[in-house]
Amino acid sequence: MKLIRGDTISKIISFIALIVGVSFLLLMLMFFFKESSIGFNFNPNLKKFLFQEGWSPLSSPPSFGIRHAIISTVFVSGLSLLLAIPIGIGIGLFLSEIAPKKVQILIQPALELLAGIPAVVYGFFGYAVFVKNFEIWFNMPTGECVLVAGIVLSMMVLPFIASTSAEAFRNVPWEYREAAYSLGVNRSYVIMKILFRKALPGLFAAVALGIARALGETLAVLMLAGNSTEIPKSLLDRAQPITALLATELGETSIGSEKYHALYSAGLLLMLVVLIINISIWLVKKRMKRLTYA
Amino acid sequence: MMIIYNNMTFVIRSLSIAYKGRVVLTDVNLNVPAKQITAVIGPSGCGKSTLLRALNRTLELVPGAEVKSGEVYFQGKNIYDKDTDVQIVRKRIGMVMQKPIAFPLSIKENVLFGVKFHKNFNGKSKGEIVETSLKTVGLFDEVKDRLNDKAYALSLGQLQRLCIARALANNPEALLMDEPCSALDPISTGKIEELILQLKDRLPIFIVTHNIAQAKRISDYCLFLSDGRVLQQCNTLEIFENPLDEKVRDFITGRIG
Amino acid sequence: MHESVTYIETSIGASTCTYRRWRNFLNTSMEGFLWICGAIGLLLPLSIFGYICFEGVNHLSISFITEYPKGTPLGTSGGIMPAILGSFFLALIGFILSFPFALFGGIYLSEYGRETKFAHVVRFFVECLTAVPAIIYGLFGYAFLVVFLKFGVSLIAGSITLSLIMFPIMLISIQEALLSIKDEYREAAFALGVSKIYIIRRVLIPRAWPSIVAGIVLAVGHAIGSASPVLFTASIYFSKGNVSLDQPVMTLPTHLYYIVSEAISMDHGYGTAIVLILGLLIFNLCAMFLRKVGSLKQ
Repeated sequence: MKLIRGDTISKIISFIALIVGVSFLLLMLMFFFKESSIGFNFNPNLKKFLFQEGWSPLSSPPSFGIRHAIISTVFVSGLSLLLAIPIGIGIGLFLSEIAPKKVQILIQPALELLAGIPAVVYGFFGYAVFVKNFEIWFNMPTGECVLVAGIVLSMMVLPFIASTSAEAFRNVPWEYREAAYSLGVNRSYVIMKILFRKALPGLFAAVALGIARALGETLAVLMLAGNSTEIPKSLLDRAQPITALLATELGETSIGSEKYHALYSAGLLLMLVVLIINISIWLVKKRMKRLTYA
Repeated sequence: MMIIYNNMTFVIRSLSIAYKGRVVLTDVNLNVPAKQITAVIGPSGCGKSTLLRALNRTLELVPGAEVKSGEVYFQGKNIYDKDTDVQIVRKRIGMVMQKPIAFPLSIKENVLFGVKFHKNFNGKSKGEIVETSLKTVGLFDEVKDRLNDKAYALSLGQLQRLCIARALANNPEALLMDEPCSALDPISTGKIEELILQLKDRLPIFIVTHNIAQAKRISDYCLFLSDGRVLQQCNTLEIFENPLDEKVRDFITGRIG
Repeated sequence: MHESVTYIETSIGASTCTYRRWRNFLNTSMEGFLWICGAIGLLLPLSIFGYICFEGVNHLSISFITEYPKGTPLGTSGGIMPAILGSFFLALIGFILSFPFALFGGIYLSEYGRETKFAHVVRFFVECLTAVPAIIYGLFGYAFLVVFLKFGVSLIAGSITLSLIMFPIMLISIQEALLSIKDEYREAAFALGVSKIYIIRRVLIPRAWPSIVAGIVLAVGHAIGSASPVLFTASIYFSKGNVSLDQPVMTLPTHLYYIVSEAISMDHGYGTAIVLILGLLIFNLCAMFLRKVGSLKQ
């Protein structure tokens, strides 16, 4: 009897712990909707908020469109993914198909090291190495630009793409390679025709994870993209991705103002995009599970 | 010596194989004429699959496995010579694995997998190659309406026949089969055995099997391996009538499995 | 048979040869590209790490670690002691706040609510939240804790924000750690007639300990290094180093950010960066030691 009572109590305690923790997170979501829904009301024309108006809080009347931030985010994270996806998947293939055991043992912790360096240190590194030199190489007044932010951001997402895709390739059973090689084909043929297809869901997860990381990264782009509310037109232009906009403006915003709600709306947008990406990863995984057991 | 080689498809001379430094197969000698089905039997773990993989150099895909000494002549040429192209060796000596593997491609592309790589069309169209290969294994009528469907929807038995068709489409001059029926039900097994007997006229076949009855049904020549050594090699009928070693006798009478 | 031999000889004729050479060229170039990728995967981390260590090690001294920021503008000389203290206490309090919930929550998901609809929904929800960018947590902390609950920019507001970031990461790794223990252990213990909580305490937690520690390290390391959640909830440009729950603190990441964005001193930037990185490294090593101790006990 005593045993059972102890068990019930522990069950209740752990249930309460879970509920408290999760409800805090739920509260966060709800609070975000509350703070930003007003923002969306302030901009009854959502299209205008997202795509048409510029960000000029000091003009009269002030306008709080985040078009420049959306374009900057697409530019910077697009560039970083353009660099990180091929190299990251390449590292994944290298680790699972080519690398001798000893080399694998070296690269794995190196990638973990790369993933463990804080964003602000990357920002500092990019500032010390690239920004300073870009000013000299390209004769720019200030070296912060889309290109620098994109390069540094690609280093940050690289380890995630690399290790997730290595896992995706390793999960392809050995028999597939043996069956293919026994027909006398070479490695590139096996990789292109079989491994990429078999590892597709895992690669999708790797890329989606990379996109989510790149979109949400704040400190590095804040320090390296240049924080300009102009729309960037080239790789050497300054830009202000959504996360940088939030980090720059929030400190100077009075609570409840139009600008305040516009910022929370931008945050909500960012969060929704990341959540959609995550849900799609989950759906792909679920679909693949069903297919493999079919 | 050359005379022997020319009459024989395979000539194996004192082949020894090591896995991670440990010798797993010692001193195998064998002459295989054309149109012969050779069965490799013996208790599990005796090195049957290792021997088979050494015959078309798929063994070197297994990390740690290496041919220590000996030669494997295929049509008079040592496949372990430095100047042989391993891709051509594997193309000319086809292989079918224990577990049927459907590549993540359509049925048609599965058959054409090797052919497309080797550009080995012989003036035939892709459709013709798919059709003849699938007809040989008796699968064409079953799948002709869904050649462009993914291959994983096939049953295990169909899949194994697809794997054989895939190997045959490459136009090999010998076929190695590693327990091709061990994952299949009796009816599918019967179909595959029938197919093997049909193929006998076209090319020599090596088959590893743990099923003694199967070896007796289809093979002409038998090789009995135990602990990496050949205990007996002779015509199939002879091994069943006159087992030389006690272990061989125990095994074929079913006392050890 | 002879027919087929002659056919083979012709099939490796000139045209196929060029084609085969092309195939081999493709293969070699691809393998070359993959080797280059591998080299990047190895050299990029080492060079970034090496660069910062090499440049930073000159600025590392006892006084840099133990003194307040000095000079005009502040941060050009002196040390970063308040930032070290601030980061330490933020992470510590954040951990203390979130760990019990993550531990018991993970136990519930794995041991009591396994395979229930509820557990699946919670798990999915929590997994989504691990992907939410840290700046979003910062925004929430600002609006809810700093403004709505009137905590002000303070150590406690920052700690709670960090605990929200750590909670989902720890919850998932604890759940996974417990799930990965084979059912035989549970059954063997149940067969002895002991209660579930006894099994959890004496069998499951000790077995899962190394993985649990790994999850904690991941979460806490992430929290120590991230600046965006504490930027508006806890951090201040300069403090005397007195730690109080209702006062703002300096932190290492935000200090590095301020130094760079105000272009104060590259030297101090290198120093702060290396302290941050080495701090995380030491933290990881300690955790590795803890894992060892935990697994030796079994």
